[in-house]
Amino acid sequence: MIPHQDTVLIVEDELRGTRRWTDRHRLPLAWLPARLEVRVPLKQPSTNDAFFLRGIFSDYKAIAPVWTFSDPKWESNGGAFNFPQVTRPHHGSPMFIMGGGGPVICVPFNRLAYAAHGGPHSVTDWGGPSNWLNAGPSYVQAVTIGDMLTAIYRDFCHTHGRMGPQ
Amino acid sequence: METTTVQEKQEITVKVFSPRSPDAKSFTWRKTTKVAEAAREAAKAFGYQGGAPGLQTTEDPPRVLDNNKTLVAEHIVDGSELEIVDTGGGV
Repeated sequence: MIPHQDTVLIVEDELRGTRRWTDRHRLPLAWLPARLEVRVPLKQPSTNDAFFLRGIFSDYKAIAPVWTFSDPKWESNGGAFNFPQVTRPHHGSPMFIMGGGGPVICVPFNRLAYAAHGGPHSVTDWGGPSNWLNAGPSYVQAVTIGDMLTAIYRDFCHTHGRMGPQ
Repeated sequence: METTTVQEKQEITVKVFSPRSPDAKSFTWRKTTKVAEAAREAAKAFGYQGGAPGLQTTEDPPRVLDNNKTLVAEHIVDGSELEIVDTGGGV
């Protein structure tokens, strides 16, 4: 368990570089330290539809953060309607998939990609969310918040529409 | 008087950003340098280890450069601004 204030310091240190990146791309990043939460509204280039990317950093970096697309009110983790639809993957396999437990951003740096949190990757596969810094070396690698956002946005820009109906 | 050497004409200086750092770094590469090679050098300078580093433009949406092409083939010119991005896939 990482003390809340320690996590705040870690995240805010990483956000220095991250905010320069979001500024360059005119993305309005919000950091809510009391909730250890990062919110980034995104506009899908091909449709101009709004999506709501959320990262939760409890126990960061002992375990991977939680990344998901939220409903527009930031009240819950989103369903298929809140996830973008991959049309044609540009970098290997797509990272936005429909898993057995629902839609997931399926990358080593997402806690929700691990079976312990409802994702498809078992302990024998990626070693669990505490192994995230070493997991899946042949998959996309991102070990800071800025790297994670850059990777997610890279694939988001090649999506079109939504993964499912409302 | 022409003072530009042939070598200088073959080189470009670009500014590379990393989402890890608020500050950019400058790199001078031959135009024929492969994107992957340039990306590896830039990533190392910013402290990246492992992964499959690549480069993308700073425009929005960004254009990820083809790691197998040269900088000139990807239309990178003197003064271009680029960002580091990992090129690995998900799932």
